[in-house]
This record gives sequence, structure tokens and C-alpha cells, in this order.
Amino acid sequence: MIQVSELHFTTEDGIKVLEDVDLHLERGELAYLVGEASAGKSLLLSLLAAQEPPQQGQILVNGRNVARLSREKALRLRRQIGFLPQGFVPSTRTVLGNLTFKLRALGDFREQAEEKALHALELVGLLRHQRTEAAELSAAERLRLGLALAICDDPLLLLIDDLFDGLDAEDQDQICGLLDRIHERGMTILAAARGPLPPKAVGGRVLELVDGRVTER
Amino acid sequence: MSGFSFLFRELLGSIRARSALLLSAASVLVFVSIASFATLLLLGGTSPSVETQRIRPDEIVASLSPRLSAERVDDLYLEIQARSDVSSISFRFAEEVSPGSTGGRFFIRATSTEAAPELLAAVEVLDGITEVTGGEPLPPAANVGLSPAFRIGLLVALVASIVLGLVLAREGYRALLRAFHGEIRIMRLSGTPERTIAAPVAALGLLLGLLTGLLLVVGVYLGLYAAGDSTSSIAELQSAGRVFGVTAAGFVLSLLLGGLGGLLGASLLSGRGFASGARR
Repeated sequence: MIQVSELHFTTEDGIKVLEDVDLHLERGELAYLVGEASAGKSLLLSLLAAQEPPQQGQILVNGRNVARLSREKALRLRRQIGFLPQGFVPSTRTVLGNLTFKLRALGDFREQAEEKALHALELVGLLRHQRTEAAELSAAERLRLGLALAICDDPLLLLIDDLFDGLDAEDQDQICGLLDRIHERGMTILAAARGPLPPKAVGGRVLELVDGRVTER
Repeated sequence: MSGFSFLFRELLGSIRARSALLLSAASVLVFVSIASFATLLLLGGTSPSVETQRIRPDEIVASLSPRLSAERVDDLYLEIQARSDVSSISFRFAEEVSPGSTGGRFFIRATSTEAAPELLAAVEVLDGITEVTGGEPLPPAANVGLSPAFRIGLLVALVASIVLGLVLAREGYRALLRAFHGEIRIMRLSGTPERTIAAPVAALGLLLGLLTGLLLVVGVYLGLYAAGDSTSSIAELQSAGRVFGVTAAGFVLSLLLGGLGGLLGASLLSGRGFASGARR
């Protein structure tokens, strides 16, 4: 599903954030990418999500070279990737409204959008909050909503940045369980996290991003 | 198309008090600009000269045949001047009074208002006089031309209202997009093309231009209707075709300005605060 080789990225200030990154993720695999703050996790995920063009190196997502994609094809690829960025803030709508907005903006009809949205909310455990304003959700519930938004259109790949940010230990364990449930549906998942992983994060590979390089733990 | 209409409705639903106020003010200014534009074109043409506009009751204007020799004009002048019921007489070339006309005009003042009709009858039969008017005031409606100062004022209002309207429209769209920011972020994350996000914003501008243009059409119609009762000569002066043409031009201008405002709003999407993190 993901094949990254010899990936380099240098900021405008000349700081080498990614240096000769090699990464391979099979279809249906779950992997955690850990690293300290500013290690380049967000950048790597943005590159994988085709939100940023790579400077040097090769990124193959679902067999397609991200660097060589036209604007249209990059947008099409982005639709197949559920991306939950760091510090995600939902729009000022209800929980259900956030999901149906995304689906309808992508061209789904109302009934179809609601059906998909309710299915995603059920999966992440937010069904009973469907009429709640998104602004009233707790940090853990907001994360669940973000996950529902990312998976509601049934993407091939799910990329999550800063997965456990702002969550207590109990919430972290629950989110690990939720990721396992999503993973069981056959989705490829790469979740970036700062610091040590919670004890329940045992269902997947653990990769570490240190000094611009990805290593297996 | 269903995606566009959905997004357009959602964008309209994101209009809050501030954006509504700013966009309404921008629309009012666009209306002022197209109203100034229409007024300039409808009423700002060549204004009838003072002499032809305001003929006093004791005044007569006699048009001379352009074929008259200078000597014959002199003779006529002296002949009229010699009359006892004439207080004063002056000659002007027709071109001075009414551009494009040929020949000359005598501006004759009778000794009194009562003497004017008799004088008019006497001048009318003189050889070389083609037309005589006067002896009674012309209807006030003939005085529809705009003074140069008023025309300059309208031009200034036209330019100022366009500039200010576009500035306010941009601020209105900025406020609107701020309220719609969460949705824009969701669309970008899910790979919605930028043109799909920008299209409803530009369309909103066109809609505002359309509504403002329609307001002008209604305004011109009501203006003509109201003027038709009191001063029928306005309708005589301004042909239906000209009114239609000017109104249509104002309508198109309104659409253009509304569309331009919408494009300015859409351009904010790539500016600071709304720009996508993605470079493509």
C-alpha cells in the first residue's frame, strides 16, 4: 500500500527534516509511527496523503507515484486517503452534520450520505452524539469524530497525526481499541504518536522516526 | 451540479450578521454606482441650452432659413428691431444654440407679455423665417439636462461607489469564509478541488449582482412611471430604446461588478488564513 524510498525533505531554512526515509506498509497493515515533537511525523504523513509534494525520493501510494501525479490525480488519490491532521477542529455543526457535509460535498445524495455517516458514527461509538454540536464534544470524542470523518467514505488508507494528543490513559486505551476495530475491517492504517505508546497499542508494527530516519522498533 | 447547489446553499447558510451587513452595504454601493451610470447615460447627455430651455413669456425665438444671405439677415434684423413692440433683438448662429443645426436664430423680446403674441404673428409671416416659438413658457420638463457639476458629481459617485463597494464586498466575503472555514478544511482534507470550493463564492457575487441589477430595472421603470404622470416630455425626450439600452447596460455592469466581487471573495481562499497547506 505504501512504499517510500530514499525520501528527503529540507525546510526553507535548510533544516533536514527527513533524510533517506525508507518505509514499507502492506495493504491492511496497522502501524504506529512514534517520534518526538518536530521529528517530521506530520510532514511525512502530509507527504503520504499527497497534501505536500515530495522534494526528493519516491512515494508510492497504492501503486501510484505521488511525485508524478497531476493535480487532478493527486486530488483523486487524496479522496482514497482518510487523513486526520494534528489538532483537528471540526466545523461548527452537529456531529452528523460534519460527516454528511463532507459526503455531500463529495457528491453523495442526502440519503446515501446519512447512511454512510451513521455507519461511521456507529463504528467510532458516537452514534448517540449524532445530534450534538461538535463544539460540545470532549477531546476524545472530537478525535472519534475526526476518525469518523476520515473513514466515512471508506478510504483505502487511514493516516492519523498525533493520535493520542491531549488524551488521558483511559481514552488512549479506548482509541487503541477503536483503531483495532477499524483495522479489522481491512483498512491500512498509519498512526503517528508522540512519546511512548499506551500498553494497549499492541496490534500493529511500531516504527520510529529519529533524526529524519524511520526505523523498526 | 448537485454538489455545487449543495455547497452554494451551505455557503448561504453560513452568512452571519457581519457578513450579511457588509455584503448588503456592498450591494447598495453597487446599486449606487449603476444608478449613477444609468443617470449619466439617460440624463447626462447634451443639455438643452439655456436660451431654448427658458423662453420667457415676453420672448420669441425665430429660426432663419440657412439659405438667407447675410444682407437679408441684416435686413430682417433691422426690420424687426424697428418695430415698436420690440424691446430688444439678438442674433445667434443655430449651431451655438443647438449643435448640428444650421442657419441662425433671432432672440426677440417684446415690450410686454401682452404684446408677444402679436409680435410672434408678425414675425412668423416674414420672408426667410422658418419657425417661430415663444410667447409662452415651455413646460418645465424640457429642462432635463444635467449641469456639468452634477455630471462630475455623478462620475465621482460612480467611481467611489465601485471602489468602496468592492472593498466592502471583499470584507464581507472574508467574514463569510471565516464562518465557513471548518467546512473548507474538511473539503480540502477530502480532496475537493479548489475550483469546487471557490465556485459557490463566485456564484454568490453573481447572485448579488443579479439582484442589484434587477433593482435597477425596477427603479428605472418606477422612475419613468412616476415621471410620466407629471412630466410627460421626459418620455418624449428619452426614447424607449435608449432607456432599455441604458437599463440593460446597467444590468450587465451590475452583474460584472457582482461577479468581480465574487472573484475577489474566491481569491481570499488562496490568501493568508484560508490557504490550503497543500501545494497542489
